[in-house]
Amino acid sequence: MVTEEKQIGFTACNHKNIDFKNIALEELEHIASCEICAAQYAGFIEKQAMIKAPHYLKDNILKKSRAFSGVWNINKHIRLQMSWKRLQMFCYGMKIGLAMCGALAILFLVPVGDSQQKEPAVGVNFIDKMNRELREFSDNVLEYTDLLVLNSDANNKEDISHDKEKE
Amino acid sequence: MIFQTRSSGRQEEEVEKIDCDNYLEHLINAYGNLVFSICFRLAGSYFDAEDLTQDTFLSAYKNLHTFDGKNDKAWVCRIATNKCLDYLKRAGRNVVPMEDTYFNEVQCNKPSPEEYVLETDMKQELYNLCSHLKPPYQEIALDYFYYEKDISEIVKQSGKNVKTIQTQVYRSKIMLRKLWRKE
Ligand SMILES: [Zn+2]
Repeated sequence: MVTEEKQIGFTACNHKNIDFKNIALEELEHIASCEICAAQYAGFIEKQAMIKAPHYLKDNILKKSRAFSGVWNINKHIRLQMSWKRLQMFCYGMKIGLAMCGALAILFLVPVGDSQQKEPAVGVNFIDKMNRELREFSDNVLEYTDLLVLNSDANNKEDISHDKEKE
Repeated sequence: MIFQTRSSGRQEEEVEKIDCDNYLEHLINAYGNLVFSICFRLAGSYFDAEDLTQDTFLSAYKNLHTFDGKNDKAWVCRIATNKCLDYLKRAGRNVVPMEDTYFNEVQCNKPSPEEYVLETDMKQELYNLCSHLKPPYQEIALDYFYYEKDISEIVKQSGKNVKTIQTQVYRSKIMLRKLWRKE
């Protein structure tokens, strides 16, 4: 609305001597923004002549106001839901951010050499032991597969020599 | 001012809403005729004045939280004037209707403005326009707009369906609006 804003705040004005019987558009604009002149205009209308508003008008307005407040409540509910979702998103973002900061801090601030030196001997022993075990296990697997390959080669050679003898 | 309180709980919101609804009803009761008279005088059309009056009170309802609570008559009057200004600008009119075509200037000594609500030429105009409509709209329009009967009353009287009467009232209103603008 062009003049909607004017309804909200009272604007200071130079009160003109308005002839309410013949109002110019500029004077009407003044009335629309001036409480004193608006009151005078209301008084003029009341004194001069009043028209009865349509009998159904009050009910229509009240119905529409109720419908409006219904829409208002729905909008409010949606806005609340949206803000709750936004809050959840914010919390999630905060968590991720904190986790990243923590990871970066560990990466850059904790001295790597020192920490290795200060690590308890039990830990080193355990890792060494695990490495040794794994190496032994993989060696055994390799030996076993080598044996299998050698055996199969020997069998193949025997088969070939038998075939040649038959021929 | 009761409307400026920021409520936190749901109950308080409900109370605030009831206050607003009651206050709107008070505004309509107190200034309904005044606002309609202003709108009719400025717009020059009965049915457009009806729309403008409706817009005025709905706008007041929406902006109740900004109202300082001092002079509600002037406040409502300002909103009505604003609505009429928008209407005149939209219609491309640079001049406010000058002639008091539908107003009879009457000096009245009665105490309350509500008591000298006038049945004027406007009412006669409404009757003439309703008479221009074809049946069944003519009868419905006369009953509803001129004789000011309720829908339920017309339903009882005519024995027709409520929906049918509502539709006929709606259509006759559209026709009357057009006819009034042509006048
Ligand atoms: Zn002024």
